[in-house]
Amino acid sequence: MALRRPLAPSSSSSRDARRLDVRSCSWLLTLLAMLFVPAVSAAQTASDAGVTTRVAATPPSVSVPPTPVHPAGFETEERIVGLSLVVGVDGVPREVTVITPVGDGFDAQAIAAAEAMRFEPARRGETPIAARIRYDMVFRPVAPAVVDEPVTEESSPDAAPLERSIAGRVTGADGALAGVTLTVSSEDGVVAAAETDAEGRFTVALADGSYRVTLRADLHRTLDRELVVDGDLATLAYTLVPVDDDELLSFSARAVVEPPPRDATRRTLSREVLTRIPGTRGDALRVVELLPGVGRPPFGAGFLIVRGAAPGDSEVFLNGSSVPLLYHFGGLTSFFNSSLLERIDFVPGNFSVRYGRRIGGILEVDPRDPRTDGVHGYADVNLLDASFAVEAGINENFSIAIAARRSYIDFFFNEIVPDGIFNIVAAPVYYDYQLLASWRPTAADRVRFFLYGSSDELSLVFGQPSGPNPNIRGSFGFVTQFHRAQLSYRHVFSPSLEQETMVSFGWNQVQFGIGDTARLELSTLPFQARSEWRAQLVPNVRLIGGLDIGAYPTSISFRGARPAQSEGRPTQASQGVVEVDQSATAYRPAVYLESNVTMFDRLDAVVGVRTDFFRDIQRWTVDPRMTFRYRVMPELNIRGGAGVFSQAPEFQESAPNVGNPNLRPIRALHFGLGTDLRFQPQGVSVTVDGFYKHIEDRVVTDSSTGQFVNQGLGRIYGLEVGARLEPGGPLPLIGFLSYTLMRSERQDAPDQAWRLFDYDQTHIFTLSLVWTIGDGWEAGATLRLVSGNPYTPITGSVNDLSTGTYRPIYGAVNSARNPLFNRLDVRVQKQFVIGDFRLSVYLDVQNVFNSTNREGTAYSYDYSQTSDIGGLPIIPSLGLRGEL
Amino acid sequence: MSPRGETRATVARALLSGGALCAAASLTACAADFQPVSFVDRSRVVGVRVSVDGADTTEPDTGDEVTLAWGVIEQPGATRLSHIAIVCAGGASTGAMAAGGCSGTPIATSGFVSSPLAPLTFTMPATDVTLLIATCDRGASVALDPRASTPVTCSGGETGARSDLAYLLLRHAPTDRDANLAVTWHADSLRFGGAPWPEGDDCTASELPHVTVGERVDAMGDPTGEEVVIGIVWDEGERERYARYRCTPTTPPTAPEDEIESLEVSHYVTAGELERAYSFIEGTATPSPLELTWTSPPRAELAPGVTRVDVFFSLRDVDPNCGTRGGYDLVRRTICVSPR
Repeated sequence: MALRRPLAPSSSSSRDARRLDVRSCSWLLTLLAMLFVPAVSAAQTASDAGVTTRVAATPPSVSVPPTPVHPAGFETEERIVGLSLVVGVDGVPREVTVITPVGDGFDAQAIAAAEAMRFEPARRGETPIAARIRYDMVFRPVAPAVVDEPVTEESSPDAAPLERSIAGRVTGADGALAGVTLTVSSEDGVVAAAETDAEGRFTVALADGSYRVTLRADLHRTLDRELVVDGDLATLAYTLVPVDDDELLSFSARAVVEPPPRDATRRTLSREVLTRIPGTRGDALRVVELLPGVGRPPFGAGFLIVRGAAPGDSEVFLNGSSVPLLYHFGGLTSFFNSSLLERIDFVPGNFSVRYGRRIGGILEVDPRDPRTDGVHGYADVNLLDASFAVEAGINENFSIAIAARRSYIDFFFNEIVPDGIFNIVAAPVYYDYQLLASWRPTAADRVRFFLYGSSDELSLVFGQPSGPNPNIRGSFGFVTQFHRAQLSYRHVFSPSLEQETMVSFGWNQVQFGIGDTARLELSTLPFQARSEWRAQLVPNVRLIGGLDIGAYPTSISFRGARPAQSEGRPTQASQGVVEVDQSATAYRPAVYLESNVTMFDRLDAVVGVRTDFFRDIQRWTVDPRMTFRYRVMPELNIRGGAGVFSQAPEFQESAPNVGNPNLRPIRALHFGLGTDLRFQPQGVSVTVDGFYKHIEDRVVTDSSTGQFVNQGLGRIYGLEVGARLEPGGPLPLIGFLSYTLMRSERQDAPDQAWRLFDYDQTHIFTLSLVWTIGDGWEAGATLRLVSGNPYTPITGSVNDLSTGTYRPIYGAVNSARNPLFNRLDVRVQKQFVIGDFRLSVYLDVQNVFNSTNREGTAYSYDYSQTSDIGGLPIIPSLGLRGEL
Repeated sequence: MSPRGETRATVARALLSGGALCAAASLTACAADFQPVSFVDRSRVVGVRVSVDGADTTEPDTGDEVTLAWGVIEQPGATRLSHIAIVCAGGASTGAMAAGGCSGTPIATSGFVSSPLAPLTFTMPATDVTLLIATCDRGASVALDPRASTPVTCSGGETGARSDLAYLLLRHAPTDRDANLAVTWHADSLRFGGAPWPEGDDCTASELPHVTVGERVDAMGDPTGEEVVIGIVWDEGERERYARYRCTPTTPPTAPEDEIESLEVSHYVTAGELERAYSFIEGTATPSPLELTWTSPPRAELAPGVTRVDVFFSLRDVDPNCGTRGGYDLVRRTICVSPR
């Protein structure tokens, strides 16, 4: 009953693509002049080089169509589940994931049906190649079974009326149509269904009355007709009209021939899985912290610690544009609405030359296009915040989505903070918003406009000094906000040549104040642009070139203690107070080139080089990188990579008057080796990754001069194991397990011993399971066990008589460690379906056992007494979510 | 500040420093019931007043005769404090355990048991100097090894003797601006219950404030003491005007700004609770009058024989942007208490 859809684009659609391509290029040329001019030049160069003689790629096509089975109790429902899958060279679908879930068990059934499908593989010339496609699995209503029961004249008035056998025939442009699905509906719903035989004939049994007959067939327009049964009828006759090529295109699944990954290790999570993980309150981005290689920040602070790298060493990209933060206060909620998410790609190291200026990991957040089939949306209300999203298709090619969220913690914050501490409390408040418009003028073009932003604000005012520190007075608080406007354009010139350009402009603001002690006001107007060309030169060689530009006009006003190295130095050296008011623009242009070569049908090798210029420190870097992936067998891959990565010093480290403008970029070498193992029938996949990273030219504070210098080293090594239970397996379970064994060390000067990194976590274990119970019920749990963070013990104190306050005397840096962190989160959800409306009630409880989990130590005024500072307590979140 | 208030403040700091808003939900979990810094739990040095012979400055010039007078807080009748003090030439820019900064030849030392501690006098060299003082209370003898992991050790004396280590970086007189002037408590700067609060510790004298402790209970039914408002009064004319440069020299240099110095008051009490540990007189022309509530110990908790409560007031002149300026003074006032 699924609608089978051809995957090959029609010739007329290709013509339309070319026609609209010219039109869209003309206005984009104006809009994106700076980037597009070199892009056009590059296209010309590619053409001159003989790209036009390459062999075209053919998308896969269905050879064995699906036979989806409705979940029990939903037989009369019509649903469409959007899937993403990879069609292997053998035509077998793999990596089937849901990208547009509908719930109620349909998603799992859709995956099961898709996995039973078979395809003609995509081909490059005559050579079969793997391809990722999107496929809409359609569940048509199933007619209730007709029970033939004897009907007597003496039957009661409630007895079923007499049914007549009604026959008919369906024809198309070329005669009889077989396999046409016919459904007959009355006011009570579907009352009969049938499928035409080889001669286009069908028979249904109907009582007298009025009905609506719907006929559906592949490649034909759906036909609706009224039918009145009143006495015997002649044989019915229907004719279906074939769809035009343009219509066919709009109904076709989009087939994208995906090349092998460009990174040695890339962990991709689909939205369906992301939003169901316990302890995340349905927030997809929070699942990232549960992945292998991702450390746990203290206090749930929400920053990314990737493979033992400092938080600032990793970067988050949204639709290709860098964003400064991932989560609101305390990591409770991410800044981006999960309902607009398509997937998350996490690259913990050895990332492609597409990205640079970072020596840690990369997180790519990819929003989806808003739906074009009518108006949809949801509203979610829980104890901390409320959010909504609305999306609608303006027409088949243009759709728009709006989403927003705001906390209301400020409404009750004054009630939970004891009296007498704060004279004035303003906020805390967080909010975020997204507006996404997607336009697909042709099958070959996509234009996206994206407007989004996020804000967190907290401020307190102390009238007089509070606590044991006389400096705790005045206004305290912080504001972090960013806003972005982004325009991206992708054009597919041909199956083997495409170009994607993105420009974004925005505003970042950070304000931070601790009374008179410290004040920071930082404002940046980041401009980012990226233009990337991807060309399949020959069947086994792919070439990617790109331009990656960043310009960051920044103004800063700072007063406080002279900044010291941000990690591994608990001692706040009393080197006086500095005051800075200055503006500067950091220009960070980069170009990169990457080649992907497939050899022996089993080995993919990606070799690339990237060069960056850091204008603020007047330094160039050249970063060569390579990765490989070897398919030992369809279920087993071996992959690895090595490369050089560069990162500029932090602003305060290289700014004149505060830092050292003569610093060099920090450099890192990444080495990785891993394997993927997939047990398709069981829906289980396992990955194992080993890695080693060497960091040099780390910026540290010279102990004798207090200046920033490139004297530090770092070494990080470890092993990551991940296992996933994918949706659609034999069990009604999804989940994943991850374990990381790791050591991250630093050396702050050549003559010093190696020490632990601030966030070194030897063991990171996560087990998360979600059980689809049925009847709309779902339950799950996530267990985390993580080594405590290292800390520097305080061995004594000294009274500074100039202030009358005590200063701690520290022991060896990071020579002690907090106890093992343990936390169990659970989530229970019940979903009610009322027509097209879905209402979910969920309870998401973090830290069910209310484990104390020491995160730090509180000290008495002279450091003679201590007390543990615990982590987050039990946090129940009861929510209500309505979805249309 | 009361222990409870201290706890709240600790929680608030945790909230801020952790950056985790949801820590608000863990208010009680973070709580640490420490003795507040404003309570005199032992004898200790809390400041040092620098006097320059022949000048009213806190930044001595080369060759000046400098006298250091220790500001000590202690319980009435406490056993004497033993100490070792060392003054070394050379600054210790990296701070506290610049004990290592005292590696040069000491230019002055003292070490004996006395209460109050006797002043230490030395001649100012051409550089900044670092002062280090180690103390032991309850009659214990003190030993100091600045390079040891535990620099101060106490031996002998009464059970529970505690050590303390304090330091001060004493700046040499500047060459590009006027030296900072000393600050001094005025006789009428402090008020108790709205009335002048004279010096003296003889509770038979009628001019000292007397508080009768009864059987009050708070809203929760717990015993509580009497609340009295302490006033701290300061006028604009009693504060120094100075030219403030950037805390750290910049290139090119910035022009100085006219400032009125701020005053920071640390208060300590031997019994009962103070509303807070510090008060701040802003560097504005007409600072708001300061009020501070002292809550007497409830009658049930009044130690036998206690008839006197001492309150210590430390005074420092500060630049709110750049930190302390060097002036210091300490006074003690007495409250006489008696059960109702």
